[in-house]
Amino acid sequence: MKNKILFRIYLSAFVLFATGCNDLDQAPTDKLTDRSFWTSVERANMVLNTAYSQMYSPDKLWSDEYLSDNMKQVRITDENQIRSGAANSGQVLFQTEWESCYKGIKTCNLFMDKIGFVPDLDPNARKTMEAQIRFIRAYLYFRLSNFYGAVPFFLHDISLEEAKTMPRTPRATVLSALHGELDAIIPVLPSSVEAGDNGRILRAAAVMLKARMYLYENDMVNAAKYCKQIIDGEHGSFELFNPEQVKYSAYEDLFTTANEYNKEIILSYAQIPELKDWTIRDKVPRSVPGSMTTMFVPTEDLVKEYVDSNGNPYTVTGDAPYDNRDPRLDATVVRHGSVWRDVTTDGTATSTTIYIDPDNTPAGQTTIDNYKTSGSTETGYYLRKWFDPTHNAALSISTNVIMMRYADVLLMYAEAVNESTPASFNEDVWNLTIRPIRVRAGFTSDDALNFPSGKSQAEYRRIIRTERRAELAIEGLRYYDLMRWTDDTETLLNKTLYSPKFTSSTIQDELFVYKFDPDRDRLWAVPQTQISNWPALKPQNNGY
Amino acid sequence: MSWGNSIHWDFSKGGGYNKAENDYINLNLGIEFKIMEGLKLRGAFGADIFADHTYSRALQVDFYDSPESNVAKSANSDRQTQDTNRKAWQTNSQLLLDFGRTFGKHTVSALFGATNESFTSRKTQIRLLYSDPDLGIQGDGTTIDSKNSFVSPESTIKRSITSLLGRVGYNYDERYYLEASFRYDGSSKFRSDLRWGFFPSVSAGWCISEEGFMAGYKEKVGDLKIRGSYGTLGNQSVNDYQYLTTYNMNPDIYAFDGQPVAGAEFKLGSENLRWEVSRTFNIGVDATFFKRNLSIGFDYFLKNTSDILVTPQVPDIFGSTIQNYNAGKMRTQGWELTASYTARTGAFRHNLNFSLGDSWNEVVKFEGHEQITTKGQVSYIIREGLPLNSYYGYKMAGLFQSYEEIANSVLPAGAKVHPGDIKFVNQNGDKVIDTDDRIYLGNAFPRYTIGLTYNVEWKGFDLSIFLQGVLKRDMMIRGEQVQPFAGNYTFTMFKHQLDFWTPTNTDAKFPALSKNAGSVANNYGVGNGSDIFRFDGKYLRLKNLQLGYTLPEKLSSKVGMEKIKVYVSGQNLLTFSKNSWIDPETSEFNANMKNGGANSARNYPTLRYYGFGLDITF
Repeated sequence: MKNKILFRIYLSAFVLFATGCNDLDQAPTDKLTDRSFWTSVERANMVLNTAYSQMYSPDKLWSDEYLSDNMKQVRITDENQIRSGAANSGQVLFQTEWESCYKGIKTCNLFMDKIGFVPDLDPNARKTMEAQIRFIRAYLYFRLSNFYGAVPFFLHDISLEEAKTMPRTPRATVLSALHGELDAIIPVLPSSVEAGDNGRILRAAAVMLKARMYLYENDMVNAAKYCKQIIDGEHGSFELFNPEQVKYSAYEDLFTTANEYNKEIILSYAQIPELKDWTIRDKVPRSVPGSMTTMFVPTEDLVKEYVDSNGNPYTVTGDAPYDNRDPRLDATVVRHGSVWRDVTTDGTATSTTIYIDPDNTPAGQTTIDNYKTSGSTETGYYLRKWFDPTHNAALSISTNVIMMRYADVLLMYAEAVNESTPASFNEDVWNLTIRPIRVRAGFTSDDALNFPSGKSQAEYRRIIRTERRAELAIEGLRYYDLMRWTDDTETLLNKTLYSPKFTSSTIQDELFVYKFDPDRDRLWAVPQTQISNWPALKPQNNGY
Repeated sequence: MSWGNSIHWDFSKGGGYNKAENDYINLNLGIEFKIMEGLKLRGAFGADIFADHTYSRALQVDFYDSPESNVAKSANSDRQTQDTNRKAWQTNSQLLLDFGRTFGKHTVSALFGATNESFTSRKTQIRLLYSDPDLGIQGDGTTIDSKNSFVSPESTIKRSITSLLGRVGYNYDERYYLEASFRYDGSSKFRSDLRWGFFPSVSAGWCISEEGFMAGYKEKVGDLKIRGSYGTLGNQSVNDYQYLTTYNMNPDIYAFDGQPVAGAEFKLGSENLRWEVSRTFNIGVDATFFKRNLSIGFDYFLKNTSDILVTPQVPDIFGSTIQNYNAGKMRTQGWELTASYTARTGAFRHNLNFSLGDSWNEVVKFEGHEQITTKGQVSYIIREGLPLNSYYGYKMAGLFQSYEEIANSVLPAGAKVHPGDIKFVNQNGDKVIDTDDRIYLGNAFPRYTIGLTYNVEWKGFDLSIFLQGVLKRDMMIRGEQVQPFAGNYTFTMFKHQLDFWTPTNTDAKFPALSKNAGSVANNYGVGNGSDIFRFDGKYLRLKNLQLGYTLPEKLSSKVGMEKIKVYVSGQNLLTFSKNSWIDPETSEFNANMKNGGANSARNYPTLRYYGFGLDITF
């Protein structure tokens, strides 16, 4: 009897022992391993989707804007340090940009190398998928080469060993290879897509990327040529967004969730409500519900660039400096006296006047937005552009980030014509490009809309550049324009930022001093950690 | 709430709640079977079973953020409601053959066995956004937050270690001790042919005072023992499945026409991941004096760790990171002296314990040569020849006093410098202050740790004092405790920051105040860290003080108690340190030397605690 009980105890102990142990071979239950992955077109599409997500981001848009003279950051940041001429090769931004671009390139190269493993894949479907991947890869390499000049350039999935010894390829070689890539995919990419595929890379995006590359290379003949192809409708039909029903204005409505994928958009970076969104809560007036401490604000320098309603450059700081200006000013920037329009969660439209001038805020009105109030704006302005009344309560917006739009094609074309064949910059070109842009912007005066004839190439250049800054402000393009306008870069990036001149003050506050060393600051440094560990990346860019 | 807000929200009551039920079952079963004299078979099974459920709700709170404001704001406006369930099993199974016998003056012991430790955890979670404001359930406009909702395969961990182990011990007449042991461990974290590691150890001891020729010494002085050991151990503290190349699924990575699509991200496995091995050599002496009233011990150890599991430096152009990798060698050594003294003077009984120890480490080999990580304004370096994760950055050469001095100094590129800004040492003698001028600036490892406990008893009263301290340590602190008005998110200047440079206070500790827009690179060496962020971390702290009184047994027994003791105690009553504004015990490194991010001194201050207690034994 006693033995029987003991035996039962032993037996149950043995059973517990045997069943309590996990096997030493364990595989994750939420991930697929290399072998099990490349088995279906759906799986391959997931890698393609990842590549799309790695192409760009709202953070990159902001970073590019902070690098320009359009916006000022309150905190000491890498972008600030670069603009103050004090960057060194250990700058974290140099590292993160480099890293994130190569992360995307890895996804693309991996896709190109492994797509062949997918069984029974339709050859046409494969070509279309590959064309999208190759566009994304070209886009990332172009971005890299704009920042770093020569970069390691490879079009296959490299091993760790290769990565350690890969040298840099000169920028011209990279760009010429990218032109080849784009030439190869232009015939493959569709000129339009079915509704459900909105947001996929279109043929026009590849053509526009070529035009943009030529523009940055200062090859104005080719830039004009590829822009004209898009304008002529050779790669699909695009037009300026000009809805019959406007909410605020056609220009302001262009940047809202309600009008994503409209006829002006050539490429945008997708966002999803609640799941993948971005915010401007640290850029809008403090009185806006959901806002937080102001961190990033537009500059007086940008505000001054907007012409008056007759198209003349803005010169005098009078009593009402913001009256009768380019209508896009108020669609982009919040200044003293701006009316902030929003929609509450229950659908009520609201409009609130924003008071920034501390000495000109009526009694009883909130002073929280006042210049230099704790946590408020440091430049005297707040941001309006990209604000979308369909935000959530925490001011997160899910508007797609516009990467390429038709208005940019028109402005690139105007610039490329004026630069390559000044004599051809005539009324026809004006009426094809700047006039419709100004009409859509809300200009009504003939002086602003009609061709200003009889001016020199340099005067047209000034008008085109001003128009470009006003139309495309806060869209991540200004920095690259500053870099490629080599005749102007040093003037534009060696300047002092000031606050606006408010009623009571006789002087403007000095906010920030830009410094630009043309021998050094045209390019970023190859990240210090990379070049010191892997000498194949040497030599370092000049001056770092 | 977001860190950027200037108001400190207190929604602890109105903002929602967390309800957690954590069930825990601990099961232990042991059986022992005597095979013959001195030989036993032991089996043991232990299980820790956890079943946790947490329900949390965030309630919407409406408020105005300034007295003048006429705009209502709200916090927690997305009204999250979340349910989390977790079930975990940790089992421990052992089967051991145990032998121990004494034959005359020979004592022999031996052990051989197999063990397994297994862990399985599964978790599910669902989070609702915009839940019903009253009930927290699905209602009008409710959505499911798919980023924060998952089924059990998305949060499952299974791991296992199986070991064979053995030990043989021998001692002769309590004079000579010898022991040899081994472990043979197999871990599920490594691929099958690299899974098993063999880790042997030996130790020996000699109780000299037991020898016949030491009889006189033993009688007059006390015991004396020397001992030494050499042992190897394996470490597998890496995350699971890292040796496999995986594709992580990521829902909602992108969207087409507003419809979310899923993505897959490649993660390269460390195929050759294997055991980290440490080899420790230890030698020690134990001695007693004055009829064993004083005992002194001294130990020295040298530990060589190889195949260290580190996050390696992979070129960024490779496009993917590797989490861990066997890529380093490190040497740690140290010593410890302990002393304990007991004495009686009249009715007083004293007991004094003292310890003093030191340890230091050096990275001997690091694949990828060096790695600099920057967290906040503090940079850390892993470099051969330096302690692990040492501080790294620019060295200050005081503050600039005049424009002439600035004109005659080497500056960072593009820097706009004013008197009162930091001057950096130009380490390499070139024409610019840049990243090449950064140097080793110390490390966060405590040196010379001391502990002192003193107990005294007198006629039922007892007093106990415990002091602890570190005699040498560097600490880098970032953020508003160093920089007044840091960024645009603190609006404070602390008292310890008042010694800043002005034209009349030129011998200041801190640089001149400037607007953020000022001399970015110089004022604080922001972004790259200079030794202005370094502070002296040495301290001595009265950690514990207790005064008690035990009632005489005659009294306590009258009320039917065996013992009644009352006491008052205090913790952290006194601290001597160079920087009163930070608790010197805080560090950015945890016990495993993992860096949790630069120390911002934003912790709650150490509590000073006073207590009163009553101990009753029936």
